[in-house]
Amino acid sequence: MFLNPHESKWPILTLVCVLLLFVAGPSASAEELRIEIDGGAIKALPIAIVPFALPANFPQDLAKIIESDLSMSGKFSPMMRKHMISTPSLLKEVNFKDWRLLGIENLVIGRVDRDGSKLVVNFSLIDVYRGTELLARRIPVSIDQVRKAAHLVSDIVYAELLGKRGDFGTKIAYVTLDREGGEYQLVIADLDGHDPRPILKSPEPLLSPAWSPDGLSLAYVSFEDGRSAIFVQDLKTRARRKIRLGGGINGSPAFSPDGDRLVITSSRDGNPDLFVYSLLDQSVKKITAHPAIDTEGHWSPDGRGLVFTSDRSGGAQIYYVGLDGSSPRRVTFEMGDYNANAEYSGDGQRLVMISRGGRGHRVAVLNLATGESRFLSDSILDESPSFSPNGDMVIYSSKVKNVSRLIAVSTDGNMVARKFTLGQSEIREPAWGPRID
Amino acid sequence: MKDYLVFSLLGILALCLGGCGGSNLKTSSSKGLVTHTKSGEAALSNVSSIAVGESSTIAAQEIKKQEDLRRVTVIYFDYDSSTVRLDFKDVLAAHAGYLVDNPSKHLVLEGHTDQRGTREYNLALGERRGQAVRRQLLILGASQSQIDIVSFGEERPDVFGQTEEEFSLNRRVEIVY
Repeated sequence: MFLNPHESKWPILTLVCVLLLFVAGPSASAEELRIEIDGGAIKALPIAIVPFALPANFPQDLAKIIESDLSMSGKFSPMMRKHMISTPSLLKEVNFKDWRLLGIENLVIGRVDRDGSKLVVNFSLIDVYRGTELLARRIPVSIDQVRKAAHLVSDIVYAELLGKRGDFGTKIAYVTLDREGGEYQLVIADLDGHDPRPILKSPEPLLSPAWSPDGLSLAYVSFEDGRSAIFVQDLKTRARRKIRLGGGINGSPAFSPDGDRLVITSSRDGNPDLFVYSLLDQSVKKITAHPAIDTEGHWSPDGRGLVFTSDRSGGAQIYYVGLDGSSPRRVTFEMGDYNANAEYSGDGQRLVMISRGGRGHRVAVLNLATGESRFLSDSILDESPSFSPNGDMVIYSSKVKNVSRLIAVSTDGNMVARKFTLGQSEIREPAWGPRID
Repeated sequence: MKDYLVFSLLGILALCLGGCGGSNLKTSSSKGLVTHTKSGEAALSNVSSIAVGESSTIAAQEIKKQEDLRRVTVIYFDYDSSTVRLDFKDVLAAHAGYLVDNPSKHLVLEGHTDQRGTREYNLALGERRGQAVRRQLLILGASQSQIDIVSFGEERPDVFGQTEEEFSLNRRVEIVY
């Protein structure tokens, strides 16, 4: 058997990149974000992302960004750079025989050229065995959009080879807590952890961030008034709308698929129930009315119903309620005595949730058609799972020995994970943002 | 880190008291104690003006006992439970008695949970614990308008850490005057 470097490089290896990131502007957080990729992709596609030909002193390594994206997805096993015996940037420079011998099926090559004050990213995706160019694209960008262009390359490669949209250009929102200073921050960053920007800082707890479908607003819960209230914040203007239905808790906001309504939890009538709040006319409709806890509502993708957590049967379980007034029905059976915080995949076929099993609270995925469920994580204090827009990955937060991290994993069982930790601060409650076209 | 040490020491103290006295006790913060002392003195002077001889000593002892019980301002709960444990019955009776004697006084019940489970569910569970304590106080004569409930769920742990002991110290309702 000939040398096949892509197969042996990931399984035990942990690649650790320490990146110092600083947020621009006076409200900057200088927190260090540490990113690890743990690997063990089994049926991943062998691919080589050849270093791009770059202008002198160019600050970004595009191939590295693309490689990180594709390996994180669990669907690809990018070849290590040091095993490449040539670094072509044009189709005519590719020696197909060499790449075939290395066991590489697909090749990404490219270059960045200056075009006056602008830059142009050119790249090709090549089928090594057929010896053909599958596609070639030209992406004009400004210097501050180079990382974005690299994620776009990842998206295009993903779509071409797997027939599905990539989500590499999306953003995540999360909450951090500096235990020493006691400051909470609500932060938005690129999916790969770059460019973290705090959109709110508070000495009081912040929780439950939720994206609007257009990606322009975040809803969240803040204790800044001494008790829980829901806020909807415009990410551009920073304008905020406060929503409190009455006394008691006000929490768990989630946007409807059309973005016009929120499902929220309020205990204004004495115990937590679900309500739908219209962002258009402020009207309120009560959805559940049960003396048990009803909370953590999330919309079905068709907008016609909600899944939520209720302990009406004794322990926390997932229920579905239609918005037509039909009575709630239980969704989780034979999945243990605690299932909570369920969220739909974009196609409506699966739910991801927190399920108590084994040693603790773990991330589980339930296939709604077959009723089969399986754990995606193996920890004890996992929280807040959310699907990527295409449903191929899940991001959640986990706490082990008082160190908290965000973990992104593929849902197909390939054990590749990207992990984010944040120095001495807690990092938690990731919410995967929508894909913006 | 300093806070963590203080909390740990308080935690150890609480466990010791719990082991010796049959209940899980924690002293309140200094802010709470000042209020209690003042009102305690006021109550004492009222009673001694009408009592005579030996009975005044007994009354003073009883007042002292009630004061001590009121120094306990944290009610602990079992895992995933909002049932008020029997060992906190006397403590809640002392607080209720104080509210009955002082109709203008007001308190906030802050509900908390440990960090296991989801945050929003825990927010609901914290509120339910606050409601369970309020129910006891109302039964014992306090009035609805004297009691407010705020749930913090798992957002304000008293101690950090992931042992059963640390979890148990975070499942609580704090009585704040």
